[in-house]
Amino acid sequence: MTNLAVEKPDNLAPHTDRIPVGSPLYNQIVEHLYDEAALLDTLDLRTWQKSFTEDILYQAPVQITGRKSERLPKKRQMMHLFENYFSMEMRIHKVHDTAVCWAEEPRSRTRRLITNIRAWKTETENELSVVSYFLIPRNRFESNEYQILSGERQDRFRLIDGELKLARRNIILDMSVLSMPNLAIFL
Amino acid sequence: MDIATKSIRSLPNGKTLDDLIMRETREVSLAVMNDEELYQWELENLFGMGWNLLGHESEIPDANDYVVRPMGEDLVIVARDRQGQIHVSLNVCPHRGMRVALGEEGNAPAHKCIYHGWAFRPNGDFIGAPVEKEQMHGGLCSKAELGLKKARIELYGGLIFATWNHDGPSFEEYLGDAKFYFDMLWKRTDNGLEVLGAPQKVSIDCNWKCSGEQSGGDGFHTLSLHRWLIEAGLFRSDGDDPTDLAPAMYGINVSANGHNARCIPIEGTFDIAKKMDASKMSLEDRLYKLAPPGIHKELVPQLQKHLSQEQIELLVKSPPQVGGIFPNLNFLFVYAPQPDGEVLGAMAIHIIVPKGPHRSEFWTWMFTEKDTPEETKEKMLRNAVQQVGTSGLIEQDDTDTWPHISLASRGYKGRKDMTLKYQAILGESKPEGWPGGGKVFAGFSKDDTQWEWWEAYYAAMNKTYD
Repeated sequence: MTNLAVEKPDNLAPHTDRIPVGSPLYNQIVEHLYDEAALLDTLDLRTWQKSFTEDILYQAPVQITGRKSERLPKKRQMMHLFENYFSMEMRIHKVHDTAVCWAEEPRSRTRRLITNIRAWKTETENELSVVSYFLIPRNRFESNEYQILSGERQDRFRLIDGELKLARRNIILDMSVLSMPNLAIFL
Repeated sequence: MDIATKSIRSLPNGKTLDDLIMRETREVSLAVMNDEELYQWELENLFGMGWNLLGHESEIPDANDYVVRPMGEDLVIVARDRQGQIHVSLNVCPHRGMRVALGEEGNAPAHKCIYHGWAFRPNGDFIGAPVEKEQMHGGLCSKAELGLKKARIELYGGLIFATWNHDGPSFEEYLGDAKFYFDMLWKRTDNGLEVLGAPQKVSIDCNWKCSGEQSGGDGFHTLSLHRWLIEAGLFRSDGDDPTDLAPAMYGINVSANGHNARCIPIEGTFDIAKKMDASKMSLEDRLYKLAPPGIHKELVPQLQKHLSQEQIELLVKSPPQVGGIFPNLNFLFVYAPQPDGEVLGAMAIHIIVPKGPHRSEFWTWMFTEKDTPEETKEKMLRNAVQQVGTSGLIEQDDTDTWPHISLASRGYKGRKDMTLKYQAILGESKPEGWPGGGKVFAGFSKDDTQWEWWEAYYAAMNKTYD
C-alpha cells in the first residue's frame, strides 16, 4: 500500500532543519494556512484548488482505540478520505458547481481554527514539512450545537516559483466515531 | 404474514402495533421514530433476539485477535481463540458490570477486567480472579457459571452474525429465499472476501429506522436525493425531461423475510454498457469485459465454480447492486465497469446501530475478494471511500437527511398525525424463467420491498420473550 504518511520529525531531537517561528519562511507558511482556512470557510473551492499540486494525495485514516499492552489485529488502514487530484475535482465540482449536494445545501457554517504550526525543511530541496493542529466547529441548520472535529494536519508543501503548493496532507482525527454524520467538508 | 394477524402488544399509552403500522393502507405512524418504549422493545426483539452483523472474520485473522462490536446497545467481544474458532460474548464483567475489553480492537490471550481483575478467555470462559485461594467470586456460583454471557454465532461468507436467541431459526433459515441472491455476492470465490480495513464510524442524530427502512429497498430516493449521480454523468439518462432520467429505476426487486436486493440491468444504468452493446455479448464475454462488481478477471473461473449457471447469468446481466438484510444492514455493490476491467467498483456493507431513540451510529465496511491482486485492492479502497461511507460522494447526502425525520417525529402534530407512506405498489411479477425465489417485483422500483421490510418489522416486534 502506498505510504502517504508525511514524515514528522522527532519533536524532541535538536533540529538544524527547523524553520524558526517568526522567520520569513515561517511567516509565509502561516499566512498560507490562514488564507487556506478562509478559502475553505467561504467555500471558495476553485481558488483553493489552485493551491495544491496535481500529484496531491489527501487522506484521513480511520482511528482505532487500542490498548498500549496489545497489538491491533492486522489489516489494511481504512480511510475516511482517500483522495487524489481527480477525486478532489469530483468533490469540488459536487459542492461548488451543483445545487444537489444535500450534505452542504444549505451549506454548513464552519470556522477552521489552525494553530500550533511547526515547520521543517526536508531532504527534498523545495519541499517543506508542516504540522499544525485544527479545530473545526461545523454548524448545520438551526442547531444550537456544533459538530466539532479536532486533529492534526501533517502537510508537505512544495515551493513553486515562491508559492506554497500542497502536495500531501495526512489528517489525524481525534475521534474514532466521528461527531459529524458525513465529511462533506474539507479538512 | 397474514394481514389478519393482530398485535398482541401495546405501549403504555395504549397504542398497539396496529395503531402504528397500518397494514391496510400501508402507512407507518411517524411516532415510531420517537417512542422510547417501542425503542426498548426493538432492543429486545430485533437486536437482542434477531441476527446482528458484527463484522467479518478477516478483521481478526490471528489467534487472540478481537474486536468490540454492538448488538443493539450491548457491546460484545468478538474474539478468535487459539484453535481459530470465533466466539461472541457480552463485554460486561459478571462481577460488577464493568466493561471488560476497553479497546475497539486488540489481541489478548485473556481479557482482564481492570476494576477487580477478573479474567476471561477469548471464548468468554471465566479464568479466575486475583488471590485465587481467597476466592473473590464467593461460594455460590461455580466458575463455569461466571463466564461472560455467550451469544450464538454463525458465519456466512465470512460475515459474523450473532444473536442472544439460542433456540430461534438458524441464520440461513432467517435468510430464507434471499440466500440464493446473497450467495452471488458473498459466497462466490475460493477464498472469499476480506475487509479493506476497520469500519468507518460516524454518529447521526436520528432514529435507527430512518436508515433501516431505507435499507428495505428505497428506489425512489435515488432520483431526488442522489440526483448528483445523474448530474455527474455517472448514471445514464434519456431525454430532456428530468423525471425521465431514470433507466436505473427499472429492474427486478426481490424480497424475502424483510431482506431485499435490487437487481438492476447494467445496460439500463451505465452508459459504458450501452456503448459496448452488451446485450449482444455472450455470457463469457460479459464476464470478462463487464465483470461483476468486485470480480477481477482472474477470479472469473472461480465464479463459474461456485455459482450456478443461472446465478452467473443474473450476476452479469442484472446483478444485485443494492439491498439489505433485515433489520439494520444495507449493502452496496456499486458497479463501475471499465473496458479494461481495471476499476472494480465498490463493495460495502453498512449497519445502523441504535444509540437511543434519536441517536445512531452508521458503520461502513469495505470489501475486496481476498485473491484480488494487491495493487487492485488499493484502487478498490479509493473507489469505495470516494463513493460510499463517511465522505462518499453518493452517501454523504443520506446521513444528513435522516436527522430531519427524527426531529419531525418529536413534534406533537408530527407524531400524532403524520405517516410514512408506502402506497406506490408495483405488485408481484416474476419474469419468465426467473431463477430465484422470494417475492419478485419486476419493473419500475416502487415501495413493495420497503413495505415488506415493515411487514418483517411487525412480525418480529409482535412477539414476546421471557
